[in-house]
Amino acid sequence: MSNLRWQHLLASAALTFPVLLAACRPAAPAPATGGNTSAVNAPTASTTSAAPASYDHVDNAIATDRTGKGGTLIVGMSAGNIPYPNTPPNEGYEGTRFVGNQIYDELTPVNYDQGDSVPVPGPGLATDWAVGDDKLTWTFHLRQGVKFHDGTEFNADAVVFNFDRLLNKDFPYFDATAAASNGFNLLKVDTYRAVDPYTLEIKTKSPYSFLPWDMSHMMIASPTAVKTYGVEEYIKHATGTGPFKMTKYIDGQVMELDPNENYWGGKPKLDKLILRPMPDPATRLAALQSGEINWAEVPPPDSVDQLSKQGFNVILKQYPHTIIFALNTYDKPFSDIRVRQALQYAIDREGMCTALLRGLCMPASQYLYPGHPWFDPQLGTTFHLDVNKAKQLLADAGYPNGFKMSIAYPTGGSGNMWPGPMMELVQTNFKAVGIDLQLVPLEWNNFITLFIGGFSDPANKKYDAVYISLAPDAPPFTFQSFTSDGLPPNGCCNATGYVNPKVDELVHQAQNEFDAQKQDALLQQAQGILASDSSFTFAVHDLNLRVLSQKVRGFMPSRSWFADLRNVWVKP
Amino acid sequence: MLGILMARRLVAVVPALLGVSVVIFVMIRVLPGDPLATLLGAQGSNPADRAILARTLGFDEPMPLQYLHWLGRLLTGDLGFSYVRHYAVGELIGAAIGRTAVLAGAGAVIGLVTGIGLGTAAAFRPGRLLDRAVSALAITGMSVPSFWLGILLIILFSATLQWLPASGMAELADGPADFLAHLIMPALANAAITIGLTARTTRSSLIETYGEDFVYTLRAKGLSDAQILRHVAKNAAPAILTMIGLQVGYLLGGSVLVETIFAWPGLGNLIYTAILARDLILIQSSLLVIAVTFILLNLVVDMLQIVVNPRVRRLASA
Repeated sequence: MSNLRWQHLLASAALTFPVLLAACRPAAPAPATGGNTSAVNAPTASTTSAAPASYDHVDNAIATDRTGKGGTLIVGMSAGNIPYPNTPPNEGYEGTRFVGNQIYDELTPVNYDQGDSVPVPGPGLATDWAVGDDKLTWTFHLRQGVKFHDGTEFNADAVVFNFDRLLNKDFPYFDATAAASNGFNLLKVDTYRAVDPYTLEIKTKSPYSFLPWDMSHMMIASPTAVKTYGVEEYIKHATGTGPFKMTKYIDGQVMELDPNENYWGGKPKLDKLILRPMPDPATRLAALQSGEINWAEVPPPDSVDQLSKQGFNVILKQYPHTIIFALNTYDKPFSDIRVRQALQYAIDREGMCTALLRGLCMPASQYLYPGHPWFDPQLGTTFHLDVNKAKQLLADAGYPNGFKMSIAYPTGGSGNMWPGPMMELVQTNFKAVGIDLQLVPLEWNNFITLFIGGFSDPANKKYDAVYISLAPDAPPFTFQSFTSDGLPPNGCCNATGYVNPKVDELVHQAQNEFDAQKQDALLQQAQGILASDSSFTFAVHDLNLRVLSQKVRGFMPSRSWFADLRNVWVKP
Repeated sequence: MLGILMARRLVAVVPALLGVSVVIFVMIRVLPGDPLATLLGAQGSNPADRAILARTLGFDEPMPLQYLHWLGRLLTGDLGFSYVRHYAVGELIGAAIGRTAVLAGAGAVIGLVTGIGLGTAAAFRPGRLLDRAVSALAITGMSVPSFWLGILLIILFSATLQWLPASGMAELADGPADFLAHLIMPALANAAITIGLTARTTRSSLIETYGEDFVYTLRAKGLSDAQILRHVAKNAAPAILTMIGLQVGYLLGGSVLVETIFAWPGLGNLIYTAILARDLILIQSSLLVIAVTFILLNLVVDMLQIVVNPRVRRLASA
């Protein structure tokens, strides 16, 4: 617990020393002013041109510097351990980001080497794919001449082997942990077979246009390595086709990766990639300042201004990551939409992002940020601080004097931002409209058990809401949190119990819609209704804070949790 | 004679170990939380896959059966398999306990040498400036939280002076300089309490012995200060020895905070992350290993008492 408590303390310190990032970007959205330290303008075509770009803080000259190569990138991760290199790794998205996406490829990986457009699945181990007239039968043409790090040839049999490993309970190499971790990604897969060495056929249980998204999560391991070492020992010899290959893995200490000389997408520029677990933010900060690491995930927020002055490369980027208060819609008072909407008007999001977190977040009035294809422009930023409106809604619902409610929140952890100080601010905000908010900090495991169980579980009825960091970044998981499919105990993770048949229907239609633009339009509509119904109170969007040494060049942060490290190099 | 004594003490260890194993097993299972939750993360999984996983991990068995299975495997030397880390628990603990031993060993050497040295110096002239300075230092060492001291050390030596690496551990094979550079700060942070406790215990134990009648006799015989100290030290040893045994146990098992701050991949760190992740097999086997270590250390200290203290020897054989 101690490091979490420290995180809290350090975050609280940010309140006392509000100097953060003031030099880095204007406090309110403002147009980019050009020059190296202004917001990035990616060379690629942008689908997010409407986004207020000033929330980004990317040094474009460094991000696009591809003039050199070589060097060793040493990453201080916030994870408590080296993620194990299974398919997928553990330790959450940091595991996917630094281990999974480096060692493995997917059939249809998401392209993270771009600045401003929203990353979507594209060619990877599959070069192209198509769905038949029945809307069920998918044909994937596989890339030829690709080899796993151990020399095994990549082909359709290898993909089938990986499907068996995750879906076929009687398969000798069935991996129960990997299967459960992949559960959602393979829910719609009915059958799979190799048509010929380089053609794979997948049939889905129902028409499902998001299959390339689902396949973008499924990492492909070398069948030879799995067979040679067995399910339990495999991770010590993790072998994929990815841009980096694992050369050293000591649990609890370090993972080292070398560039894959024969990578089909071109050899990465780094000489070496080293990962170190540093769960304590103060330790990451000191390690960065002493040059022990040159890439730090989320340093303490109050250190960012100092780091910026010391010449470190502070990176912020809008991406689909939202801090949400998921409300118990089963019971009073949040069974009433007016009460739920009142909360949307009661939060001072601007204050949280400017005064409290000094530019490290962005106000959220919907699940997605403005400019994302699923952001509903009609609803727009309707939900903003309006104390009178909040009071009026509460009075209309029969609570003119407010009420008492409790919210559970995690004490820290990767991706959760700084729940302690943020919730204290919300507590003050709610008091202003008459709501007495009780804060219940929960240790991570208890917290996540509560969220997965949802408010339908009698054990969780003592809470009215839960603070959750969600990633509306990619199907299929994105929909599980607000459709009837996700209702516990038979589904996961619709904790609130919110069901709107119209939303269910729109998501269903989107799954049946094979035209990307029409699909986006349907999902945009669904997001608008979800936001209006307010089963989620949207607080802020995270900005993916990370700080790099100036010597680290060529890293272009994407609008995503994940990162492409192939063009990164480190100046001597 | 000594053999029988030791055998008797060894037999007494068995019920203690069984009791400890039951307590550990039950304790971590009444903790709130779900062992599958951390394994699968916030995105959870679908219930069918969860059920398969629970069956694979044996969590669907009744508790007594789970306990017996664990015990059965323990007797064959198998500590289990951690699905959270995807590693054999025996391997994890084996690697971690070695690293913790390095840290504890360094902490013990720094702590005991400094503590005994300071305590002896203070006991020599009670009430004088040196004595008071040592007492102040000892109290400070015992009171300062080790994790806070650790962070101060990091801020000074890593962030500001940039002399020492902030965290992690280097293998001895990678060079002794790098190894020591990583070791020195966590060892110091770890040793603070030991320095304080050892200094105080040594001081009071020596002063007490100095006050005994036989010291007057020795002085009357005209022995030098150094010769007297030798006699006094031998008589003060049992109390100090007991404390040393407990301190080594504390250093082995109690360095959770220091290991976390310095990302030292030892047993404390292992248990800390295992508890956060509800990695049941890893928690219960690690705790058991620590309990066994404690019991064995106590046993060793008891044996040493018998060797150095004739009174105990007579009492024990009576």
